Amino acid sequence: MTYPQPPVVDTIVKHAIAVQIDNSKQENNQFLHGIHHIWTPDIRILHYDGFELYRFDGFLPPPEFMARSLCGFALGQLRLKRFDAAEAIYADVLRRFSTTYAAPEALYYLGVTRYRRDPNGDELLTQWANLRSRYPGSEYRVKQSFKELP
Amino acid sequence: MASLPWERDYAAALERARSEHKFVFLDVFNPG
Repeated sequence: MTYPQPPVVDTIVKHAIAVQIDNSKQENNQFLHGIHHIWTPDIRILHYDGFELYRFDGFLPPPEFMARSLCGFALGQLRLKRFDAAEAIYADVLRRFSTTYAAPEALYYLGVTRYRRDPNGDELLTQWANLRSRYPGSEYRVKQSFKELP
Repeated sequence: MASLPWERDYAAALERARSEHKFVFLDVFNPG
């Protein structure tokens, strides 16, 4: 079980207010229809205005779950243009969860975060070069592959 | 064993997130 693990609790509580919705209760049907719910666990990271900033579904063991959740919090910060906060979380994922499936995403968006904070810098290409080196078989390597074209 | 302090009310979770400057972590689950 993932949620009872103290590091998982710490990860979520640090960044968010946790709320659970039971999809077996008829009273929740309208809400679930509104968010186009289809599978469980269905994780949404939301702004306090209800806007969905990130989502993922399906079981993940604790390390993968923490890394994926942290990427969600980081992308939320990035989309809110809180670049320093986003950078800190992505760096944390890469330091503590570098072997998880979420790590390439963290490295990709670390570059994006630094670029959006300083478009005149070269951090986007620097981090994407790191991505090619460290995670060559990842989807996120493919996402930056247009930079590899001659 | 520790567990998450789950809110059970979505609107309350949004309000707490606003006042505490946090996100909402929403988990739709099936108890079965």
